[in-house]
Amino acid sequence: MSQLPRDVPASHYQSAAQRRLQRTRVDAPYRPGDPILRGLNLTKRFLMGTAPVYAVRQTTLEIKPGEFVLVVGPSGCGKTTLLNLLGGLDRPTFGEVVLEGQPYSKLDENGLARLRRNKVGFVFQFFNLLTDLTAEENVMLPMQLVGLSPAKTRARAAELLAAVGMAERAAHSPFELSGGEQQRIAVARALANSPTVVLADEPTGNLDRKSGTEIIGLFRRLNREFHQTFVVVSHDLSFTEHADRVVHMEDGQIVKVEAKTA
Amino acid sequence: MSAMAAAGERAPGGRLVASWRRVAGLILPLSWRGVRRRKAGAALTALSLALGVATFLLFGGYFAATRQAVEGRIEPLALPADLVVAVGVDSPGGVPGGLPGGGPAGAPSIVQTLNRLPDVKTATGMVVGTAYTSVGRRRIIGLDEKVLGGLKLGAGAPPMTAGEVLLPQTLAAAGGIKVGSQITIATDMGGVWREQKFSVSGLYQGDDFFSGPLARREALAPLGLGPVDNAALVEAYPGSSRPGVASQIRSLYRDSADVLIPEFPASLAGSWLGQAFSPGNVAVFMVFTFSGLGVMNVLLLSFLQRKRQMGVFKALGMDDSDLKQLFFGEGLYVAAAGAALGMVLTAVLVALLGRLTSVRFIISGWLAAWALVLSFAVFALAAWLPAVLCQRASVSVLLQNKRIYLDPKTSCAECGRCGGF
Ligand SMILES: Nc1ncnc2c1ncn2[C@@H]1O[C@H](COP(=O)(O)OP(=O)(O)OP(=O)(O)O)[C@@H](O)[C@H]1O
Ligand SMILES: [Mg+2]
Repeated sequence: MSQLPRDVPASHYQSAAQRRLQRTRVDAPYRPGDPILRGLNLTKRFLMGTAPVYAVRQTTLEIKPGEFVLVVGPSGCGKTTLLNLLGGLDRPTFGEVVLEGQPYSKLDENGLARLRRNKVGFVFQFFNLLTDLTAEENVMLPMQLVGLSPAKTRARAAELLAAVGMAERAAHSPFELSGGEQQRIAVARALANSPTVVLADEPTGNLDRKSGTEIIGLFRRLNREFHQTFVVVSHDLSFTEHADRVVHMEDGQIVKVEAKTA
Repeated sequence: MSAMAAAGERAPGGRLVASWRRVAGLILPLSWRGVRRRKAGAALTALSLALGVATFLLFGGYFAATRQAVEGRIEPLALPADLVVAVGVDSPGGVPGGLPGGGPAGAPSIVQTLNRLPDVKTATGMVVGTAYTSVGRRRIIGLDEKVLGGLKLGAGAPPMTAGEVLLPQTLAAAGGIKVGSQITIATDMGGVWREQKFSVSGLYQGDDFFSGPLARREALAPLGLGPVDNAALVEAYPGSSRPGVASQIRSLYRDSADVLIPEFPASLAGSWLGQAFSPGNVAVFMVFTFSGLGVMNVLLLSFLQRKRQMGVFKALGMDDSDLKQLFFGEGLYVAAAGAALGMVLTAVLVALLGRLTSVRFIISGWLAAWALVLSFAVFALAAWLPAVLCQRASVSVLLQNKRIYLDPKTSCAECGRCGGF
């Protein structure tokens, strides 16, 4: 991967990125076994005042179905930004994201919202449960958004809460739950619509070691039992043993990929 | 997990049914949760709207009652007039509890009422005629002999010459004036004061609609107001320019020999603009604007405090219409509460004022309907800005609780000089 200077003119950058992109077929029909999630030549530029900051620079990452990928790297290296791009929470400055053959650039904001609703599950560092709702209602919301019938929604919420070991706390408000418990609810919520991929940004960052290990263990179990694909961002290098692949980032770029041969 | 395959399945029913079910079954309950969560804030917002609604209803009801009272006084007068002229920015003619200096309500309807009287050939509005007497601000009215003769006299006699006037007993009593007193009547003639001395020939009974000095129509000639056959002065609106009005009238009444009064705002009396800018309406409009801006600010702040929550909603896949409905739903609940509270407040105030003072209100269904429409309009408008901001901001920016801009894509966010939201 060529090392790009931090501040190159946008025009130069764009043409380079686009040339690369043209060689990659982004709209090829998805075939089972292909990478389900592909981030291609992703670049994200932010402006701090007038100075551009490249949070992610020409980064390509492909995720295979059923894979458990851990993204690690120092603070500020662009992990969150990359994850946001992969999840359609933000648009890349250049580059393309393709989920199951669907390029994000072909979708408008509402289309992207529908894609997130149906195919992407998110777990955040600060849990981000909706505090107006109970634990169960938090888990039900994504299913209600896709229009699942109330009976099925309720049944599946119960199933998910049981799967994350939170069946007894269904009626509780997030305020009444510990951090670890809240994160379990968030995991159940992320899984609600059987997403193609679950993206987790520092899911253990706000938890003590024990709860953090439990959450990663939960991820690993869901990954093994249901072939759920996970991309997890973490500071914590001790989780690398759980991952199929460990992606090291530095300064907006992927610098090393460790794959475990099964 | 077999149920996993079931996710994403659509509920049965047509598109419209589905979207309604989504709004009623999911979005509105979420809005309601949001409102309930911020009980105190929502209550304050509803209260500020309630004050707006009550002001609107009280003003409207007061004007309706005033109009009815004024109109009620015209019929018994049964003026056999050829021409009835509506004039002035005076106190509402003899209406109990009238606002000092406030314009009378509904001059067009007064003119209409006058026109329905059997002997009136033409009734219309006019701007001149506000008179300041030595005993207070009143209009001087020039009447035909037979009308003057038909008045119920309390003392003295009808004016026999141009230099004599009849005063209402109440006015005379207030000014310490007796039959035979000399009074000066000054009339504003387009910025020029014309003064005339009159002697009081008699006092007439009743707190009637004119409530001013009555003279022979010839007496008004020096003031430039006559002679006019059977002229009677009624009420009209402020804010018209007399030269403009005069030329309008000249063109309107080119062939009419009877109409000698130059200023004659026939168009003004019926003009929508003239009505819309009456002082009462302006006051009500301002009250509504203020309460509307307050409501807007509160809704905006409550949104800005919940950026992260909105980010979560968007991350979970809420689209633009979901978000819009969410905000409009919140507005709807507060607007409904505010409108209801406002109506209750109005009812209480009307009852209280009715008991303690002589002020009356007529609050029609239409007025209440307008209050409702305005309340919901205020909230629809107030919900619009947060909805747009939320739609335009990227999910990651909302989740990070960063500043958001109306136009995040182009130079607006990059410039950032306004500070965003
Ligand atoms: N909205 C933004 N505006 C401007 N700069 C941003 C924005 N978001 C991220 N950045 C910058 O992009 C770079 C990468 O940020 P990012 O949050 O992706 O890092 P990270 O690897 O997730 O860090 P951490 O481990 O601390 O969470 C940082 O230099 C950050 O300051
Ligand atoms: Mg981060």
